[in-house]
Amino acid sequence: MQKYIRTTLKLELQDKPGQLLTAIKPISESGANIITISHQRDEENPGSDLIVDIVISLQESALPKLLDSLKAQNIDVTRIGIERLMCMKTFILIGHILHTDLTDTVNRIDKKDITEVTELHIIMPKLDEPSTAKLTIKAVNEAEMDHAIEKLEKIAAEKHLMIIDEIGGRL
Amino acid sequence: MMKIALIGIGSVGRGVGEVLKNDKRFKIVAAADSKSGLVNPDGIDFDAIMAAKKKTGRCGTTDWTAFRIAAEVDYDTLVEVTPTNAETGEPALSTIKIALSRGKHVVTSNKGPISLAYRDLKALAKENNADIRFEGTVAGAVPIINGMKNGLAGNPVKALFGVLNGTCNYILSRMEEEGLTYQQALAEARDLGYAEADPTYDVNGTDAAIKLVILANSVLGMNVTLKDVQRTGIDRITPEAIKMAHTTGHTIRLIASLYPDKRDLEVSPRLLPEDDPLVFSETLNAITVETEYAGAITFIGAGAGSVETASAILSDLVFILKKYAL
Ligand SMILES: NC(=O)c1ccc[n+]([C@@H]2O[C@H](COP(=O)([O-])OP(=O)(O)OC[C@H]3O[C@@H](n4cnc5c(N)ncnc54)[C@H](OP(=O)(O)O)[C@@H]3O)[C@@H](O)[C@H]2O)c1
Repeated sequence: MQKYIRTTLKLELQDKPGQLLTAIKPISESGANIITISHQRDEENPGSDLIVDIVISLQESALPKLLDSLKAQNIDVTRIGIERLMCMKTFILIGHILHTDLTDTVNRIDKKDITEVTELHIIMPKLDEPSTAKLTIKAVNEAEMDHAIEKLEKIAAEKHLMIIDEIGGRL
Repeated sequence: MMKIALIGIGSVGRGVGEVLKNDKRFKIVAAADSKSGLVNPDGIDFDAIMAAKKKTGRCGTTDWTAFRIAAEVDYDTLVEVTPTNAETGEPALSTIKIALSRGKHVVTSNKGPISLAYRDLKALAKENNADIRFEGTVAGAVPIINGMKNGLAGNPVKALFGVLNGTCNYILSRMEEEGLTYQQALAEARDLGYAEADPTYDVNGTDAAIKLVILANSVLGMNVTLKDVQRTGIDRITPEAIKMAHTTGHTIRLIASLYPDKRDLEVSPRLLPEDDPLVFSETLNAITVETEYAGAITFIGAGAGSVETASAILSDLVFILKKYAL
């Protein structure tokens, strides 16, 4: 299976017509999906370079070649940020979540830079009544996500928590 | 003309009587309830027996039982619409076997025999050159079995997701709309007749799981039983869970899911986007089938009801009528 990554490219373009198109061509040729494009003009220095942020998702193996072809067009790439956690899934947990050591639940799923609990929200209606939590797990790929889900299911069985998961829900 | 023996004249049986009343292609020659039965080769006056039943609690005389009708009467097709017994399938299973052994066709909306003994019944039917059809067992009026078998014939099925229990769907949609607790929504469903006095099989996912087993075995060529379906009910769901789901545009429904390749069958509450075709209120049933060539197809409609379920039975009867030129 091919690994997809999401990355932000900060491009410096000369402020003249056709430059953006020149930059986009190699990107689309690389097979990448363009997610957003935003550009800002330096108002204080008219005629200076145009800075464009492009968020793309593409196969990780295609990235070096894309950077080469941008360079070949004389386009400066000043920053590459890579969002590594590409898979995201949301879960709702119901049960005695706090009584059963929430930190332990989260710690057992968290694997630095590989799977992370990125959002956690809890509502406790009354003392001794089951509480409800919503948590979002992000993972680098589907295999790691499946791994995290397995762990979550094991924890839920141990702690008598009910899990409600999404149908589909992968980025 | 097709001669019909009607076993069971409750909600669905009455619907069948209603639907066939003015259809000259069919004649009901025998009928039975739990205590009695009657036979008339010239055709039964359905309104008259329902009136009699209202007065005496019986449709006929005690010497005619379902078994005796199945075994002795001259009919073409037995319509079996008695209550579902999920553990043994009886007495319907025996009635159906008697009919098939005589080379009579069978049409049923009873999930018990089909979920427990699909292969045996199919083999018995084949041996005796008869047909057994059961469109009404899954999702009431929704033509899911014929729709998948014929309409989507040849399309490999990647996954199937269904809302197959109207009671659960009603409860969850009321919790969503009004912020009710599970107990409050269940009480409301009972008052409106959407939930049985003992709703255990509905709310713990068993009813939906039985329907999933029927689809898996009869449409997807699998060989599974109720034990193969992982089940989680809706009774622990809190109003907070539904509110939290809403913050990201989701809601919660009891979903029966099936991945044929992985032999993965499950009935459990799931998060769905609020604009998913499987999200609706009331007691409808729906099934989304994800296929190789057709993409996702969703079937939706009345999952229960007297004439609604009879509509599924009618389609099976018409199929047999044409196939055997009766
Ligand atoms: N209702 C629906 O919307 C619906 C939808 C899909 C599938 N189904 C299935 O269709 C079947 C019928 O449902 P229903 O709602 O019509 O049930 P129902 O209203 O309870 O009626 C059942 C009928 O079967 C008769 N019966 C019970 N035991 C019998 C026996 N041993 N021999 C002969 N008759 C017997 C009953 O007799 P008495 O009149 O003497 O009690 C009654 O007339 C069930 O298997 C159900 O799961 C129902």
